[in-house]
Amino acid sequence: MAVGNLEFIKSASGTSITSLSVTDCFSASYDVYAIKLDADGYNANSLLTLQLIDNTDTTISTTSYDNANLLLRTDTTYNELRTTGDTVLFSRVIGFFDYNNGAREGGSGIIYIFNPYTADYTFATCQSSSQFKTGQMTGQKGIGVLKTTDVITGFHITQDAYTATYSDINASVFGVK
Amino acid sequence: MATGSLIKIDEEIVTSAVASVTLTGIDSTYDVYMVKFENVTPVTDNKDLTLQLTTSGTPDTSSNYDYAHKILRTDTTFDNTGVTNTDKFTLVSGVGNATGENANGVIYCFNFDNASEYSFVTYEMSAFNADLTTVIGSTGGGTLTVAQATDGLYFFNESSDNFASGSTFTLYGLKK
Repeated sequence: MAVGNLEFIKSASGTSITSLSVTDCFSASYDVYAIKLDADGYNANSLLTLQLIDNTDTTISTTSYDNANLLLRTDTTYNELRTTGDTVLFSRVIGFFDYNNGAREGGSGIIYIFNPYTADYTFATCQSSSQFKTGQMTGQKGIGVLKTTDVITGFHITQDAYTATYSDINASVFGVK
Repeated sequence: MATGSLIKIDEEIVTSAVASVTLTGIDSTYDVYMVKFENVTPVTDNKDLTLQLTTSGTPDTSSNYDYAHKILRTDTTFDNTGVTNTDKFTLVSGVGNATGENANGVIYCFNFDNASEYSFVTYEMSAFNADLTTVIGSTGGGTLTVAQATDGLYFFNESSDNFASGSTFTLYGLKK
């Protein structure tokens, strides 16, 4: 019997939270990881961002990230976001959330992380979909890199310039064997 | 034992420089296949990463490849690429070969084993280009507009440049 090659590693979740850390999920066992991320029920405007955590359990928040993101949206022209020397790997890992005009349905995304556990640059792609306000959807396609040789063992979901509380944030990590 | 639904079929890890990498094993077992590639590095700086599909193990070199993608990049405005009737998919341009420069991504393959349909791919990837200042990636899709069965993927670099050691390509089937 064939055993699958997408292997569940761990999940983390929280309710009434503003951020979520997932540690010790990247190791030498896999080169490539898939992260499924869901967030729902925010109580204010918000952008969820993603940072990486090194093998000393330190969240890397230095200006060591570069990223480029295409924000697809149903209400107007798509947005191009590009940053070098950013403090986050993705500045809108699940689009953005407009609380005041919102159905507040939240969103979901898939992030691939390439070679985090090696002493080399860590590359990533992400794509997500969310209802950012009533009747309007947004999606995101993004690429990013961490330009340090840190050994990466986890990631941190937080907010940039916002402090919304989410009713729940869930992350599941899989190794692509 | 719990069994998963992503089944590894073929993997090629370059251990000494080679001009191409072929992933084989696509047949009727699965409807959809996935390829991941990582640490893909040209021996010579600034080379496009390209792809052809194989029939009976041989690359289809006909000018029947159509593709369109958005180029995401950190240095300037994103580009739209749309190409018809060309002889390959150009997945990403100008991959570098210095420390830290390489290409990584995921490709999904549809309808490959269906002899009466075209073969479709979607892809997304992230790479450092040749000047180590620009992160560049593409997100899009393509079609080999020939109604034929295809059974593999043939990766090669622009100008017949070699892949460096450590370049890794893996093919999976998505269980029905």
